[in-house]
Amino acid sequence: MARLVVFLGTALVLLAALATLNWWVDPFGEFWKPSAVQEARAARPQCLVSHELIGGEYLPFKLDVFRSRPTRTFVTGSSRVLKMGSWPGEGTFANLGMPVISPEIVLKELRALPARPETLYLGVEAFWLNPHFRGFDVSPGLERRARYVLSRSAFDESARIVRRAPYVLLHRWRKERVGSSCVVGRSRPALAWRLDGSRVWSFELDPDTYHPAIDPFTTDLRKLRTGIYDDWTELSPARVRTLERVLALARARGWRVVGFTPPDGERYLRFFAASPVIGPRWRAFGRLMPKLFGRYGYRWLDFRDARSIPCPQTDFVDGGYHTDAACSMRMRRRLDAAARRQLTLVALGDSIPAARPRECHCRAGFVALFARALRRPVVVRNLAVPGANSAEVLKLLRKRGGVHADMALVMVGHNDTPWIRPDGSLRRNLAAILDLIHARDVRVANFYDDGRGDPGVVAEYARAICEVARSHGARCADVYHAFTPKLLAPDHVHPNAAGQRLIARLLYTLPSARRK
Amino acid sequence: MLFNSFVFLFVFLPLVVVAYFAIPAHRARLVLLVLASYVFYAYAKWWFALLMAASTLVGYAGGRALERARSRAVLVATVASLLALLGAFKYAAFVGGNLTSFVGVITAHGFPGLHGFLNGIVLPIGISFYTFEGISYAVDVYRGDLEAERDPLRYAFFISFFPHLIAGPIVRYGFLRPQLLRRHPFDADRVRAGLLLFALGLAKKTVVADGFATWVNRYLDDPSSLHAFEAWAAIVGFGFQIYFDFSAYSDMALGLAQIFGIELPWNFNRPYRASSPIEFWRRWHVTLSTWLRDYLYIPLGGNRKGERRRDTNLLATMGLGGLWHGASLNFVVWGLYQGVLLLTTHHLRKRALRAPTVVAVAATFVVVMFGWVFFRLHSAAAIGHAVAAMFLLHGLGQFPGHLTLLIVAAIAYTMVVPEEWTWDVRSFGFARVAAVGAVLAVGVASIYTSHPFIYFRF
Repeated sequence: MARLVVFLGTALVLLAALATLNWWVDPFGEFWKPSAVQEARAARPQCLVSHELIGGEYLPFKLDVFRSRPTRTFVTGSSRVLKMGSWPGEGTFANLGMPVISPEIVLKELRALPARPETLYLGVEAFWLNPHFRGFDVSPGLERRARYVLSRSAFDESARIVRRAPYVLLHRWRKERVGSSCVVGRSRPALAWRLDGSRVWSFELDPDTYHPAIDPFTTDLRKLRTGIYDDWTELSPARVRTLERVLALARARGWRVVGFTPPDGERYLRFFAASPVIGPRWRAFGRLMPKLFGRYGYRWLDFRDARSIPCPQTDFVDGGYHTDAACSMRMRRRLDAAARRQLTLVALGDSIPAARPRECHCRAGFVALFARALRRPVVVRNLAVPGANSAEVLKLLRKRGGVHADMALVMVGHNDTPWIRPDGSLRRNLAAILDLIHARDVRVANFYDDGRGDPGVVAEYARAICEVARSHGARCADVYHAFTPKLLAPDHVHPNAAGQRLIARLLYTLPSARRK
Repeated sequence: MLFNSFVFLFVFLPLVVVAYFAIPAHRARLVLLVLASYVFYAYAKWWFALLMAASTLVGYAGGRALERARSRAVLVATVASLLALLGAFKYAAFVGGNLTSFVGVITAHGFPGLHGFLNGIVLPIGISFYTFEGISYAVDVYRGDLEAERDPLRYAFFISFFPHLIAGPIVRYGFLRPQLLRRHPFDADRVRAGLLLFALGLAKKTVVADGFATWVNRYLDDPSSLHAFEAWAAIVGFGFQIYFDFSAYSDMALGLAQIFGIELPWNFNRPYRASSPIEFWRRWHVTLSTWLRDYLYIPLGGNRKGERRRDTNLLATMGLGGLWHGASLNFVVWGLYQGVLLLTTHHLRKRALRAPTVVAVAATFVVVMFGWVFFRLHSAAAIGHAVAAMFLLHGLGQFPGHLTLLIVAAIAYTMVVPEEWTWDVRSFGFARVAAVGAVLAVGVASIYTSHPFIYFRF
């Protein structure tokens, strides 16, 4: 029995020592080290964080980047978007891209973000739609972590690091200078991360250090870019569905989205266009993306040809795959401009703005007609709830913590009338609703007399709605006076198609209103 | 589940061992091991367990039927049913794929749907092993060498016992049954011995065999770039890789079974010390070669019907033995090559041509190693490139120093040190036990970069 204990004890002690060393040194960055990032953030001026410390923990790092800043605009995508950074002095931009990312990881990443208003630049790669392409495992399980800390290859690397930088045995990292920059790391940062999530190659800090190798061009699809285009026979329907879920999530959160695909070097473009395997998929991808993004009201910028940005071929640091900072920031400028053109519109109210076809006998309600009249890319979120009175709309808004958008349309009150649901608090509720709408332009419509109740009360409600709207800096469309019984649908409650058009026109012709 | 996986080493095995010795009743222990074995097998894919259950049911029912009526028809039905499962999962894609390709060439019409379906068939690991065990049981009962097992639990244990389930050794029921009749109390020496053998096997796999694999794959992944030195080193390296890989698995299986008080038959005994191909097969995958001898070669007539018939039987046996390894023509070629080596040896012996032992061992080593070309490389083009390189058609090339050093070390070790399962590990003192503990730690630490066992594919 004693020898059994010695046998197992020896093995366990050695394995425990190995695991401790590998966990402490963490040579391949398998454990998230928030304190290293905090140290970089606390430094004045702020330091970069060496890739040695981030390793494969992209997701927690990027989420930390997002949360630690008042992020309003962010980009996500593959390693080819990682050079897109903040403009000088800009503190509201975050780069959430990561190498070997897939649509599944993008979805996971976006779901982990808070639902505050954002502008998202989504870099979509054509090879994502190759069903054989697999993204990076961003959530390693317990077994993978155990295998890592108990691995000989990790030990070999740990030993190499300790030989090179013995202080690692006491301090897992320290502030170091690379060129003129401060980097939190441990002696050999081939790559480093800015605290906005963008990436820096060490040669950019010190020209004598690591420079990315020229991407070896080959027509062998098994080898080209580590085989990401190999065996590509169709645009993966599952991946397209995942992208749709990404866009649906963004729309549900009221985000402004601009999609794009990063550029490729000239000889890659020629090869992709001519390749019998990639060519058809490459062209189908180019056709599909604008449609897919357009379906959600979003814009798509096709940057596959670098000249469209414009970037010269010399802007590729590795011969045709990754662009440098200058080209990436030119891409960002185009994306910023596209985002500025794109509006977000939210609609609140009852069944009139909800405009169910069976009630209004129309194809599009006034909200959709209004959005169309703007003649700009508009992301519409129609939060109107049929049957809702002002108290219920207010409850909905409170539950969501308010709404953020460029424009808001409100039409509520019809269900507050005494002959439907007497409440008597329309003024108070509407005022609270308008307080919870965070938009540059808020337009309110009062409602019409459908002939069912007391005309005096309807007139009083219509007047009250506009008074409250104006007192809150919103414009009010006087539907009450413009509406005629001919504009009622057969149910004599809802407006028909012409009625919806009238409301849209009245709202559209209002001068733009308050800024909040 | 793999022996060289963390879930096996740190969850499955400790739980099963502790539970096994915590349960006092012998029958309950058998139940535990059968259930654990099904979990072990179903870990990869749940329906594997259903397949094994079906195979068990067929074998058990066939045995009982054969006991009642020793009928050839019942035997044929039992064996055919067992082989049908094997054929459906292992050979359907091979036969169907070749047929559709052939018809496609003749008619200029492909069958992409059928091709896709056949290629989608997943091979349940270990099916070749437990099918052969079921067949040997049915044949032994038919021949009257064995009483049919009435207890379904014991029969299920025979088929499913996890140490030998996936890659052998191929156990015969007559060998196992007496051991199932008695309880095996906890014996620290026996458990330690089992663990030591397991640890040695694990390190042999993850350190030695996988060490070879890294170098061998570097060369053989692109046979068209090989020159003579590299080709020979790569093929000899593969010969050692597969030997260490498979014998490591066998050591681990023997060690694991020993923990539970079960002795399994040995499979390897330094095969590269053999002085003839006949002796090689008495040292290499012994449970398969004896199975092929007893259930294929001898029923075909063996050497009882003249020389020409013996040669035919040898070729047929070894060809089928090759096919057992995998549904691919290269395995058939490898089997036939081994058959040719065997019958050549018979003819040389008949003419009383004998070489000195050193020369005979060296010659056997070379011809056996050369045969691995057909085993390791799957396409005719790859085999052609490698063989051409070995016969100097592509020049000498660069001398692969690292791999050659490994090979020299492996030759020295295997020629001097006896096979690990023969070591008297029970008598190891504290120092040697601690050393094997360190070896276990190194073996576990090497799992991260470990390759799957080669014989899992068969």
